[in-house]
Amino acid sequence: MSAGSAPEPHEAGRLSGRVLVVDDTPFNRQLLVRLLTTIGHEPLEAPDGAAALALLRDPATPPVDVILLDIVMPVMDGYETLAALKADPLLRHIPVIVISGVDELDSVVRCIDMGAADYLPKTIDPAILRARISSSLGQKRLLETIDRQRSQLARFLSPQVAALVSSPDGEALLAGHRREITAMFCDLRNFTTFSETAEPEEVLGFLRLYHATLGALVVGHEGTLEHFAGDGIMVFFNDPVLQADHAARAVRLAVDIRERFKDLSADWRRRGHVLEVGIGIATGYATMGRIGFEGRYDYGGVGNAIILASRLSGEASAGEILIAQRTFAEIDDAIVEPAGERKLKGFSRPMQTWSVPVGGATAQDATAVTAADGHP
Amino acid sequence: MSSGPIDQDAFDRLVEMTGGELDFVDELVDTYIEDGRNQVDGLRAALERGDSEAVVRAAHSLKSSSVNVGAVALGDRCRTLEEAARGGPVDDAAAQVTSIAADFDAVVAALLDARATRPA
Repeated sequence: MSAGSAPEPHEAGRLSGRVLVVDDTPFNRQLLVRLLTTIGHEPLEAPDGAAALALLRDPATPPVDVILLDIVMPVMDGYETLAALKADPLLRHIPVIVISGVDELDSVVRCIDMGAADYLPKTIDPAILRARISSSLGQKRLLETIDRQRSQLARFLSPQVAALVSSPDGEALLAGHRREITAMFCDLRNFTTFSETAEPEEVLGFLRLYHATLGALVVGHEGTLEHFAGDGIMVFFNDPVLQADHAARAVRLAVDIRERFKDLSADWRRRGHVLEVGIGIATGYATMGRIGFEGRYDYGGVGNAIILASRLSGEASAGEILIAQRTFAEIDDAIVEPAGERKLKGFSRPMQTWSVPVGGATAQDATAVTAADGHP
Repeated sequence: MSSGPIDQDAFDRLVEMTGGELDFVDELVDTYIEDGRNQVDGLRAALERGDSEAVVRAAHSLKSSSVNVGAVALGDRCRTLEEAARGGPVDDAAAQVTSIAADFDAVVAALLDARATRPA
């Protein structure tokens, strides 16, 4: 009996799982194993807590869905086992159902406090066994689904926005607030030509790599990614997370993007496509918060600095990082040079601009921008 | 109480639980008898060593399997001893273990008798 026969066919739609029975009494183990098999689960067994933990931690053991745990056992009792299970990051998610006599309800309360999911009367009733295991399995599957969805969601939200959404101040911040930010907009020169002449698979493949590369840099520099739209990306600094050196951070990110993009574009140049980034950076006040409509919201901003960053990016030549006056005022002037007055669409008067010369600022020099952190 | 060492209703529940598979019931009863002997021996040994914790564990284990096999009165005796031993050495532990052992023998006899006399 100990080997356990293969689970018998069971009702369609009913959750079936692998259940570990931890009980020192051979009679109870034998009975539970048999009942579990009858109702369509795959049982495993252990005579005490230490043996159960060893089994669960053995890489050869297939994943266990539910643990049925006796309390009074030699070697390692139910409490110790439960504590060890809940302290183990790899095992703590497995629901534990405590097996307990009706005269042991105090122990049950203690076990629930320690993280047990449920309890099962020692006088075994197949209907209750079936229901409790089913419920624990359902909860576990639900948690797994939520976990999977959360990690999928995290790929779409920037970490800052994901954290904000779940913070206590989240709702207030999402509702809208004014803040000084630095916006960085980056897009590709010649992207339209490239997308017209290259194969769609090539364009998508390139965009995936471009987004992955930029996405990692944005996260690395702790920028808030507003959106990826085709070849354009908009990143904010100083919101929702406050960053005293937001202007310098934006410049550092831009220099890093330009550096990293060299390898990317060299690769494509060999295939006959000339792709270069153009970056604009501007600092100013903006209204930040939830933008969009029910079902399709973005975390974004409205303000001149955002429009200016986008215009500067459009104005930038291949590989150029154009910086607006207020950003310039916040950073170390040693790494920038005047880039003249520019007449930008939507702005009535010409704008004074600066640029970070290519070769003048490498990734290392960009770190030197930190010296500007003390600027007011 | 006077209906013998086995509560027939409880035993019938066990049979029902197994889906009426008498071979499996026999297997379970064999496991119960074998393990129960070990637990009774364990009780005696623990008593001799003055090991209250081991008394608690053996009484607990014998209690839970006894109840499931229908030996409700034996289960009650085990529980009384288990609860008393949780507080340390028990004055009349020797007497209690003696009656548990006697009860257990009666339960075994009744279980085996029931098996021998049941209609094929």
